[in-house]
Amino acid sequence: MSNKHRRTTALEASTCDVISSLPDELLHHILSFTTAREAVQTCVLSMRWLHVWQPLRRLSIEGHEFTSKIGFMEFMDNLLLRCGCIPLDSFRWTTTGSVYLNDDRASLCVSYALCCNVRELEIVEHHHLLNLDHSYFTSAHLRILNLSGVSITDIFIERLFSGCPALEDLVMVDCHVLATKFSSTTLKNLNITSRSLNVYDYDDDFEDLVIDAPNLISLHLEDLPFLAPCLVNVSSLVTAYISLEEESSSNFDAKYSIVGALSNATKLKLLSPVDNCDDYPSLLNKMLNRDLQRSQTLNNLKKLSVGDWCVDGDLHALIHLLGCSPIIQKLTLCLGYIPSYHIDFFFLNRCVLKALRRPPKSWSALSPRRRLGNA
Amino acid sequence: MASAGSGDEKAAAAAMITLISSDNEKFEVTEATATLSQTIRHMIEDGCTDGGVPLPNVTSKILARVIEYCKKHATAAAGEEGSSSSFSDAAFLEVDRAFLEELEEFDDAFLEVDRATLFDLILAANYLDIKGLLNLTCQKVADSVKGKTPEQIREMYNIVNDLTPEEEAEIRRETQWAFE
Repeated sequence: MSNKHRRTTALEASTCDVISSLPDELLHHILSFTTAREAVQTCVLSMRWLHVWQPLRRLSIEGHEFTSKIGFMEFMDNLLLRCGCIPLDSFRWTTTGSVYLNDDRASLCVSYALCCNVRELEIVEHHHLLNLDHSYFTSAHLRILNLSGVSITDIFIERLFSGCPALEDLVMVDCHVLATKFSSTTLKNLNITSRSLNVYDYDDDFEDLVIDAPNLISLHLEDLPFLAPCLVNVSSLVTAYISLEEESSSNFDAKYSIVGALSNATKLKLLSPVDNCDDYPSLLNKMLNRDLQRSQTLNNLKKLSVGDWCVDGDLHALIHLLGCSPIIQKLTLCLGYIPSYHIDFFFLNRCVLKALRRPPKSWSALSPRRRLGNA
Repeated sequence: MASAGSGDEKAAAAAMITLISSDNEKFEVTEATATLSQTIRHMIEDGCTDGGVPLPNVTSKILARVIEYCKKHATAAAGEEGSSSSFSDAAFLEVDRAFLEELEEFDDAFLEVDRATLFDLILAANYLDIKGLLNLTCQKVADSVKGKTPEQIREMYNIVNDLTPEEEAEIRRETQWAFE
């Protein structure tokens, strides 16, 4: 490496090195937006930068920055060794098809992060289904846990909720969710989304997905194969997004309710995609409708989005739902496979007005997955 | 901007704060705009903003930009509060998507500044404790070094390499695991 920068020229003096003159705390803040690898590499910039990266409190390790699994593991080992036990704000890693950690190593990384009092932990596993050792999940500091590609069993959830009493946010995207009971008094935000999972990985058994979380504020359930949501106590819920799969319906027990449990929500999105409009109205839609009949007033509901299930021939469900929502401001129809010519918009508009006895501030129809053209 | 003082506007002026830059220029802003700065918020809470808030670390050029940012984002914060008064946690609020996009466009345009100004904004955001602005500006710097080699970063920011070739080789050897 040439050392030509050693002598300061007139030109260099006029364009001075502002970044190096920033205080350490600001350099740390800047490096918290880079990946851990990029942060470590700054150590060769100059003497000033030699140790700047070391007390980083946010570690983000991106699998795609590595060419081999071994390189990835070596980086992780060295990084954790050098970082020591400095308290961490967040720790996350992502993997690719060929660059990933095996179960044991991943569990050790989780254990390390939790020992460092990490508040936010994120694992994005693309390669295989990660089985984390649930016994490591003991932390009074963990608030946010984002998991992707992880196997979620009942014992894992049980251990997580009992071992991490500060946990508020739990997000599971494309995880293999085998757990059927989510019972927590601290949880505020729960998201289970299984968009790209292969349903054939599941047994054909339908299970109830029992959610008993009295302090839950936000709930997002999307595409859960073979799981039927049963909301036991979600009385604090403000926003809910529930998209039910046809597969969820077979086990839908009459003793539970969805809409009925959402009595305090201000924003609701209830979708149930209809796969084929010949089958419509489906079993699932019938059950949602039945659930609706038993629900009480939605006193706080301001924004409502509903899918195909609500727009049956006589619009009974929609009218009922609007009737129970005294302060509703916005209605959105998210139509999947129901062609718009099946809907008499004039009739719909009249019904909405009648149900509300005043026009909602706005309402719109969306057709994100419409296959059939407009008639 | 006119400085405060006309007696008949006292009621309106009650909610206004005067900020004084290092070069003694006065800026009058609403309390909602000013309190995006935690530093100023604390001064208001302590009741020591009478006669203006001197900001000896911030020039008028930078303060004008900071106020521009705060004005825009204070409106955003007010909009959020209006849509759901009973619930304060912004993370769970539904914010109008069009408005968010507008805010993002504003931020992008706001960051179209030369490097010296960007670093001055970082220092001002840090001094005034404006979290959103600090994150925005630091993110911009972080993005600029993404995917760059140390040599490219040195060149970009005029960082003088004061390591001897031997020292640099030694450091690279020790941190080889990060350069693989």
